[in-house]
Amino acid sequence: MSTARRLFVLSRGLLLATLLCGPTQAAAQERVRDLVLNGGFSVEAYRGNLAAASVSVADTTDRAAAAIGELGARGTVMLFEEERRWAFLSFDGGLRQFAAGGFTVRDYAPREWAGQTAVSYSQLLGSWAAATGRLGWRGRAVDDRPPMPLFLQPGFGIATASARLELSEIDRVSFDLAADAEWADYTAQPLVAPLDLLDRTSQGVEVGAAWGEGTTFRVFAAARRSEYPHQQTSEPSDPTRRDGTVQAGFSWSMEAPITAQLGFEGTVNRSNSRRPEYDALSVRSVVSVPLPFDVGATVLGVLTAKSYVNDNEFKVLVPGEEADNASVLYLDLSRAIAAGMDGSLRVGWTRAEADVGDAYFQRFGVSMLLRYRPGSL
Amino acid sequence: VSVRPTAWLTRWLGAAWVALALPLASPAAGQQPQDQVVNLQLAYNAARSQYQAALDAWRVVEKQWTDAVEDHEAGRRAGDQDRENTALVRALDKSRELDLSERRVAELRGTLDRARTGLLGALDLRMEQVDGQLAAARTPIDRNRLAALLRDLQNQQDEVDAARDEPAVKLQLVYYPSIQFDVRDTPETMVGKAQLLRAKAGRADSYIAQIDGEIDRLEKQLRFRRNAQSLAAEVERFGDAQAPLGAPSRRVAPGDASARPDSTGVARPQETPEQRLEELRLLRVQMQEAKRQFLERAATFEERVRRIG
Repeated sequence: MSTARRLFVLSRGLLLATLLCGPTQAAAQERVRDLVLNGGFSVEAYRGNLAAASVSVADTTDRAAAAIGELGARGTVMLFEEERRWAFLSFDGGLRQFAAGGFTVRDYAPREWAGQTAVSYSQLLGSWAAATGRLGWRGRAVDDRPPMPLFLQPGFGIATASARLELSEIDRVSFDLAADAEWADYTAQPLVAPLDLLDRTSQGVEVGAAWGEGTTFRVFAAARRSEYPHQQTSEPSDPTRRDGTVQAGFSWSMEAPITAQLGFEGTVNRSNSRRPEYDALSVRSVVSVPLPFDVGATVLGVLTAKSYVNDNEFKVLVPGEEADNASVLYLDLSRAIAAGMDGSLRVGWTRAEADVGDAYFQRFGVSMLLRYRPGSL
Repeated sequence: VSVRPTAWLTRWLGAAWVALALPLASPAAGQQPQDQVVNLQLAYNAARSQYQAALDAWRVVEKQWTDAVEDHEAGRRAGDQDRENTALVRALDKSRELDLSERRVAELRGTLDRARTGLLGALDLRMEQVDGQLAAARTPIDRNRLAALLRDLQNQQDEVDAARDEPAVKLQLVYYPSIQFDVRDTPETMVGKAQLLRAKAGRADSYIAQIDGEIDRLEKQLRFRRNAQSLAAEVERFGDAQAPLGAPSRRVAPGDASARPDSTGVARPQETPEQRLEELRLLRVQMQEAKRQFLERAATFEERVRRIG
């Protein structure tokens, strides 16, 4: 799809969404359960001179900067809702345009399109459980992808299907069981054929138990099997890479008097290829608190520690997926500036592993954003 | 017989509608006007029954709503937080049911009004026809028969017209309908009823203040929640950080609503804070309307007492 066509589709989508949720469209408001349009401007700096297997160009600089404009929309639409069954459509998409400089060879103007959508259907099964089926798609495309240290994930399309069973409470504890499957196809370009190596299929199961009202606590355990059909192992008898991942952890959340979430999870990844075997621990926290002058402060932090089982000099990873080891810290100060509209100032720091294992880049950014909820939804 | 101009207009419109509908409706094309009157009378009776049933259903829900509001008040007075919360959840559920029930009553009232207009129009048309036949009747037997028919039709029309103002049809939606004027009321009883209604209005004020507090608390909570959601969604949208949130099934995607039982034990999609806010606002409007009615009715009782002296 051409850039102009994408812009056209996005703008028409946003227009339609705005019309659907205009203040005079009461029925549309009933149907659209949540809609947020946002736009903003950011300045970011990047540090780290790293090799990147999935980028076609290289540059000697270890410092780069970019000015970025972004537009986005996300929301939830009720497809139907009856007493014992209901279905929702959710969507989230956006466009980001960079003007990046500081490279030795030339400046870049990458443009990112990212979107995801899902349809979920829930049905009560007697009085003992609720079942939810979900079909989703997530994709992204990048034009003029720059070299490191401005790391942008490559384009891909990921389809998912999942089923989830939530059992009724037993002694105030509710158990859930979920299974999902995923198909990921990375967009290989003529000069970046290795991107095809990142294609994968995976299946997972998860069991969890949750309890508490207002303040909730949940423990879970999950197992996942992934296959990378284009990646070879050194074993002739078992030539295709297959990973098995086990995760366990807990999450805690409270809604009042402040919104707070804390999650902790441990990951053990083993493979028939020695290279990507690792263990990781990760803590994630989101806290939103009130400040004077009607300002709300929200902090999002993720800290991850990862260690590889085997020492290899060159570890080409699946960006952002297998390399789930980013540490991020964001502070967002927001305030209502008009009916349905919030203004937000955000500072952020990211330290993440790029395509190559054990090689990290850093990102520092400041953003000014506006968020609009049409019809004060 | 004096007929109000609006009633004349209504009848003429009804007659015009029937005259237009008669040749267009295929089964009715070959029917006699008398059949039309019978059909429209049956439709009117059905609409009246449905309206009455909806009104009765509204009264049941209103009673449950009242009980929940009073239970909440009792819980608050007793300092029983659990009872207070349970009663509030029940009041919110009933508030939504009451709203739906009110809409149903209003909708059926519209249907009933249309059925009545159609029937009156058909009766007018039929009476005009019989009147013409009466003028042309040659034998006394025919004249007597047609005159009796005309009287029957006139009585039928008067009856339908009179039903327009019958309490069963005209009844307003009244909160606490048990506190009404009774012809046997003494001045003391009426003063007592007025005081009771004013006390209820006072309690409605206190209840509205509590609802306002809850709305304020929920709006703040919603803002924090939205701030947290917005930050996470916007950071993760472009995959900058790929924050390790775990397997896809563990991420509660937007739109995945869990189930929860309501006050009657029936499971429904988990209520969102936005929906709860809407319910609270609806309950607030209902409480305000109830308070307005209490004060109005208290003033009526006091006025009656003053007039009696």
